[in-house]
Amino acid sequence: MTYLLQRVTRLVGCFVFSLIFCNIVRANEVNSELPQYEPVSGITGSLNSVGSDTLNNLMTLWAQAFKRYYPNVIIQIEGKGSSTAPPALIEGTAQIGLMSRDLKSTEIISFESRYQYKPFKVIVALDALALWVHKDNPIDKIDFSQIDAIFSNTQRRGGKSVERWGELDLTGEWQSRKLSLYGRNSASGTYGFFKSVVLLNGDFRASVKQQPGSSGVVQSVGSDRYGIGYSGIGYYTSEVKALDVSVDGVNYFAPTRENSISGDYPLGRFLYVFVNRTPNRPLNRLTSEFIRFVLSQEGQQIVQRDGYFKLPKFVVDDMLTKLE
Amino acid sequence: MNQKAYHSEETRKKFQKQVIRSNQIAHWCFSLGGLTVLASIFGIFIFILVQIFPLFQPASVKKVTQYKVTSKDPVVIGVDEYNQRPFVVDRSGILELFNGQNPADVSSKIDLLQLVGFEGSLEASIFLEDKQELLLGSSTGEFSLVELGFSSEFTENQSRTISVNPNVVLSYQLDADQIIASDTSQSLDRRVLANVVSKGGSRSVYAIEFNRGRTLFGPGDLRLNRVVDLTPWIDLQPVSVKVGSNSSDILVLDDAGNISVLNLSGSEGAQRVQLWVPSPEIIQGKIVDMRWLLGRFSLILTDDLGFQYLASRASDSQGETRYSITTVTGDEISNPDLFSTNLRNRVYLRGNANEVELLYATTLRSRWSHSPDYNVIDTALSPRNDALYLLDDEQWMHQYSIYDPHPEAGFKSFFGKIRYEGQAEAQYTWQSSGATDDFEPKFSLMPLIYGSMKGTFYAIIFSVPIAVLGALYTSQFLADHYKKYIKPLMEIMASLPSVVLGFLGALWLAPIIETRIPSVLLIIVFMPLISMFLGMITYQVNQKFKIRFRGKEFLFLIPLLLFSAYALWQLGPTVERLIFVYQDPVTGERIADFRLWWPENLGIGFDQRNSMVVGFMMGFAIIPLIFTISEDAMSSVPTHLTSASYALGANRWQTAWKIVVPTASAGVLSAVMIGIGRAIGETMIVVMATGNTPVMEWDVFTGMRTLAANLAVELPEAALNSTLYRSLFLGAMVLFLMTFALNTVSDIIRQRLKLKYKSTL
Repeated sequence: MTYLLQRVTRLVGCFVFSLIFCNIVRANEVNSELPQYEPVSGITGSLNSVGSDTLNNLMTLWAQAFKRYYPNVIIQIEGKGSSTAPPALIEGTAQIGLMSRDLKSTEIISFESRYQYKPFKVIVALDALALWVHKDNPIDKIDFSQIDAIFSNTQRRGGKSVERWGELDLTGEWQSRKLSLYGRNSASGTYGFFKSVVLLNGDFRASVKQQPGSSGVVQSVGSDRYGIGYSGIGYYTSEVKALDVSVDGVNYFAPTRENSISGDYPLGRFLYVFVNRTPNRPLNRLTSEFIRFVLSQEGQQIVQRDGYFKLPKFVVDDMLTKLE
Repeated sequence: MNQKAYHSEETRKKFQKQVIRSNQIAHWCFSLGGLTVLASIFGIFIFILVQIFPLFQPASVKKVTQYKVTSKDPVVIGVDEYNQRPFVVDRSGILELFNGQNPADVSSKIDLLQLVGFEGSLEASIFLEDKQELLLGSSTGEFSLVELGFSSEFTENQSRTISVNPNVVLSYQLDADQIIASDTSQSLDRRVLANVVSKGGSRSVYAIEFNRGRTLFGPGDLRLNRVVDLTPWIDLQPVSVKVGSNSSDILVLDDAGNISVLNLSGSEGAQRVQLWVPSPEIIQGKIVDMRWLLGRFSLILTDDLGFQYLASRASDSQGETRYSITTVTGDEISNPDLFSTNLRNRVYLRGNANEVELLYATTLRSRWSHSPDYNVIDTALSPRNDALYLLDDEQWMHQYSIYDPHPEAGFKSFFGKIRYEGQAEAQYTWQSSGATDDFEPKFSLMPLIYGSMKGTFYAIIFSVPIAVLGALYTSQFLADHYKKYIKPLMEIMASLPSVVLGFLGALWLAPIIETRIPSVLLIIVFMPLISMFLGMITYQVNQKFKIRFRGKEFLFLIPLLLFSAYALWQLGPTVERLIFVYQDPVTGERIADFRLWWPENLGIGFDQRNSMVVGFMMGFAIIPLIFTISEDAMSSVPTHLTSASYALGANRWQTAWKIVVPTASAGVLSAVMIGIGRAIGETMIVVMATGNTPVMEWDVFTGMRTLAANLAVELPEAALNSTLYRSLFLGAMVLFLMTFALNTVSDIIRQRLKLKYKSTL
């Protein structure tokens, strides 16, 4: 009896050990190129971050890991949408502005009118905007003009308005069902990115239900069988599935890291951190260490774990030289 | 015991004085409090007014300085985004740059002809504000795209200097004598240039397409793909050419004023998708000019009489997207050959030698106009719409500063119907922000006002009957023993946070209701009938029994009602199968589903997050409010009235209905009004339980976006003092005025009722 127990324990132990070991090896493979984070001494203070909801989870994970190095640092996170970041940066209520789109020129202008220079931009992660449908939905691919015909009322891609699943060649139960549309609120960078890339800056239909957060979109699509919606890939749940997307209607690509980097998956995008950095002067130490951490192997591993894609080495190097 | 002290005259007087003094102090305190409340409300009102006032201000434009231009024959003028390097390019290809910080400085010059290697002089050259590029055409049929390369550097004391490094993006020699007109536009993976050229007296149009690779890390290099001769698709002499956004459409204007819309697809290299002959019913003269507005989706057309028209591509009645004219300018200015746009909004400048005018393109409303005392030969708007440059024929360039932060605002934008870019008809739309600058903001408050009223309406029709009748029952019929528990219970219900209610509504109630609409409808229709029926039965039973259970009838009724509600809930799907059957038009299959039946038979939408859910959840929030206040009003009806009624032989119901309800009507009305006030201002429930869709339909099964929810959703993203920020305050003002009007009206009615049923004697 005891012998058997010993055998089992050893087996399990071996198994667990090999699992951990394999994971470490694999993790090392993935991240061998990126710099390790080396903590420095004397970092204290508080860091406020305001902005993108897409980056909200990620920021929380980064903050937790960062605090392991610097227990005295206080990090506050608020994520209501990318458009909330520039006003917070300008007013100085946040040191870090998280955004899932680039700045608009009006935002740059209002920043400049206060500080004379432009905000400093750091690319922190890669994301692919996914089109979600309910997991039971038989559809698995969609092209840009169809998406435009579903979500917009201007149809700048020239397609005819799509109201029912049947118009996307679904049959049976789905054929006569109306599409139920979910999207983000207008403060969100995701909303803006989708609008400019897919709708060519056309208008959304009034019937797109605007959710205050990315998880709201995914949850709603998961609980609405005839729903379709968009959000960052990091919010994937088992209730939904992501569609393959094509620009031209011929070549369809899945939202993976490789496809996003190559530009084949057309909804790949960067996620940004904006900070207020006076030209010719170094950034304040806490903020600079935080960004260095985010761009390190550990920070990028967190990106991967949260469902987004880590940055290629040359982008990280580029960002780090700019940060100097 | 020191009883004597209290009874002595002296202490009594002293005490009386003390009472009077405290009374006085209390009086002062209360007056002060009341006045403070009034003052703060008034202060808020003033604050909101101050915030919205600038929305209705016209542009203010002032002359700042002027520059001496040495170039003789200018073709293009422009400026960088900081207004520091205004420049002029003349026919001989000299780029003359001025110093915006020191207008008196000697200008610096760069020879562009040498840079691009042209033989002849410059013709048909334009400045592309959006890319800060010069598209130069030569008198020898060559064209070149030059990037001006403005870059800002900071010195140690943080002042900005702008340096200029012109750089040739591409050059191409066409088989032609001269370039007449040209334009270019780019998309992620290609760049298209189009030119009208002349050769040996005849004109032709060429499109030159460059491709480039596309990755996430920026575009690759341009490679020449093909040159397409578009002349065969043009019927008459081409005059001007424009390339639309995303390089898809090429518009060619001919000398009859017709526009051919071409695109570079199809087997023959190109095809004409539309021959656009502007309807003679709309236009006055013949179209002689076309210009893009910011974003390259809308055009400004000018006819030979000087009228201007706003046009864009929109779906027509057949569902085809075609270009058409959407708005006509109210007044003309003769021969408006000057035209400039900026990069920030849809303000553009039009003018002729003696007059210039700034207009906002969406409404074609004039923002500012001016007749300078010199002859204007060229104009430029700064990219940020904060400066204006006018070049006169005596080689002076005049700089004006523009202060016009809210061109998109105006009474019409907020409350009127507007036909926006790309829309088939004029409409009320709220869509306040986009990701890019060429977005046309739509600030109509109508859908939001509509949404507020709709949400309130559904909340009220759900909650008022339940709350008021509940209060009537509790105050007049319920045994005192139970009454003690009911009111605190209702107050606990009132203390439920609205976020929780909204969350429940969105993620729990909405999916349940969605699949069981027929059940819900059955319950709404039959529950009141069943309760009346049960009441009738109890009326028939034995008197003794009835008296024994007086005030406790609910002990029987509630289980019965719950049971019938459950039965009706279960009956729903059966009714759905019987009545709400939808026949698929394609397969002929019959599906029993209310969600399909409803839109099909009534032509209106069905949403999971609909007004019914909001009505329920909001009702939940306001029922306790209305209930407690009306219960108080009904309980405080003086007993001498009810006793008199009973003494005269009226029964409980007669007394309640004829005596209590009219006497308490003022109180009940206040309760309902307070409920409505709460519903109009309710935010979190609406934000969470609806899709926040700014639609304008009264239908139960569609959503809404209320003024309050809109404030909550959009205020964090609104930059301080931006148009959106001020528009949100305008929304707040409208909300304020709505509740103010409502309260005033209800108070007047309340006073009347109070006078009529004076009871509190």
